[in-house]
Amino acid sequence: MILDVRNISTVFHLRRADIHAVKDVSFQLFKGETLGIVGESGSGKTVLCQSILGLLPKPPVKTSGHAYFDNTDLLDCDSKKLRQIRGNQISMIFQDPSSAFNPYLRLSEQLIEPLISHGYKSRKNALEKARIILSETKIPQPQKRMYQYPHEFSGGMLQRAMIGMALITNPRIVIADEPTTALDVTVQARILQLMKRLQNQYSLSIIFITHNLGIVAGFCDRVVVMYAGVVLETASTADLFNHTAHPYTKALIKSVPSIDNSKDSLYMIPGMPPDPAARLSGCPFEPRCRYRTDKCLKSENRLRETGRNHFTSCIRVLESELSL
Amino acid sequence: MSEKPQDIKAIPSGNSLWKEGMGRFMHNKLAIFGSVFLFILVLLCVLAPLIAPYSYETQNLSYGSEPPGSSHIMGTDPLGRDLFTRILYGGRVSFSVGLCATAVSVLVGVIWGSFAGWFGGKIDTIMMRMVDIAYAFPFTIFVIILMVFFERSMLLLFAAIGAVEWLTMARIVRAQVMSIKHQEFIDAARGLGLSTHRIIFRHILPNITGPVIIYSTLTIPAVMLLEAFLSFLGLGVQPPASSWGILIREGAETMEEYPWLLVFPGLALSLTLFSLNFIGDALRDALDPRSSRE
Repeated sequence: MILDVRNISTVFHLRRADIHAVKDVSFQLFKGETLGIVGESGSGKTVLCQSILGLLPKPPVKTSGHAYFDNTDLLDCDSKKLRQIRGNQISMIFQDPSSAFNPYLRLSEQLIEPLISHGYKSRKNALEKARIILSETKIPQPQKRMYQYPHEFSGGMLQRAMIGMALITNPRIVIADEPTTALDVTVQARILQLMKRLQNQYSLSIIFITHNLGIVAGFCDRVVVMYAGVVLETASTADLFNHTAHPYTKALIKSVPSIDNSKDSLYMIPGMPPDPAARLSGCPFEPRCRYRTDKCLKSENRLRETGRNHFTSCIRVLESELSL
Repeated sequence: MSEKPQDIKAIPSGNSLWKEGMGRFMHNKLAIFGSVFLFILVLLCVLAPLIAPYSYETQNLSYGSEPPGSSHIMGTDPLGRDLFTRILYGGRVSFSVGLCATAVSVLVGVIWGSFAGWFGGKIDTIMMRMVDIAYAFPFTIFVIILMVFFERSMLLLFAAIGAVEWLTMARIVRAQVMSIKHQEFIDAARGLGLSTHRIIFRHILPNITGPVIIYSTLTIPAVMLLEAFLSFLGLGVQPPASSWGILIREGAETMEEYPWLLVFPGLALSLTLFSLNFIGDALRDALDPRSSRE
């Protein structure tokens, strides 16, 4: 186990209300595996990862819980210690490559920044490392390309460079926050291939945030399903798709447009995600769930094992009243 | 974003947004004209002690109020001083006021604005309300009070004008910093473990240099105009030193009899202002990131 996240809750203390963005989330990340975190927009995926890395502004945001990385609790580190881990041990890949680079600096300058910031002394060696990592990410003629500016690259190229930048310090964990959302499908496939190859090469653990179940199926080893800031189900990818336990996961899989039944209108989960300012008891999916009973509102929302390494929070599935 | 097909074979050494912007700037004829004109004028003013045909303060009453002619190409004032010489020396004052006061305003404005923008929240509120209050203060009264309480000096003039001009700069810088602060590359920089200091100096400040430079080129003429205005009111530079404001005031007094005393200083000031504004406009068009994405 490389990262052990326990009971993380993140609250935004805003003037009009407290927003509970992440509620009591736990998960583990193992060496060399890819963990997918899926959920709709606003389900707390990104906030969860930012909380772990301490990237949220402190006064309005309060995070509780633990995140053990190498026996250090990331949530208990001071900002200086945390900065040494960020970008060095744990890197991030961002969603929109075209806005994730500073338009005024050459790519080479930005690629070596993580190295320089983490105590790398020789600029020349850093540049050489940047060239090597760019050729690893299959950017043609990296020795020339790296001296260009971000606006001289295409989006797919920049995402490759971004992956390179995240890997240049040889991190152990990479958190990829919807890295392919801004790219078209063919480029997306190549970026995923690249990540897979580099993952094996550098024995990386990847946390892959996405709302694309197709990518989850093809890319992730294990999946965490989030909804309204809580985890509803975790399972290996195969289990999640073959033995879906939670009604929400079921509905999510059903909502993926399929080429087979194109004549029907697309399936849609009725209702809206709950208002994050309202603190609800019981299962957060209850209002929209077609299998709901009175029991769901009273149930304690906690993950329990239904199969081997397969956890769900649905009380009806756990009590074997329901089988999906 | 333009993808050039020849990229695969010949990769140009990277063109920064700056270089591209300067390329666009060079296509603007008015801006080129303005730059050349200004360059010549500034050169003449700087070299005034070497090239001026007469002394700027020596009076020669027997040659008073000569019209432009072969010995005095722009004529003389009622005290017989050569107008061309006085314009050159006046330009030295006007340009140095313009540059120094602008430098003061850029320095204070950038520091103030980036502080407020970066920290946000209460600090921002307090700092910007102070700017608002200073904005509301009538400038002329402010300068008169300064001049009454302290000795009149060039330094004070710089300070007074700079103290007013930094306000707008601070607002511009604050807005820029706030919008850049929330861009993804700042998040990325934080995510990659960069220190705050490095983020501000490497990522935020380079991104606001464009707007700052543009606004500075528009501040210089505004400041020169303010100096002329203050000198015109008699609050600025004191005779026998000259500035374009003083020359215009003196010219205006005798406008009907000796129009050249108004025309030449007026031309010098207005052509300079035009040139600076052309340059500022061209820079804005050239450095605006939106215009580069065509």
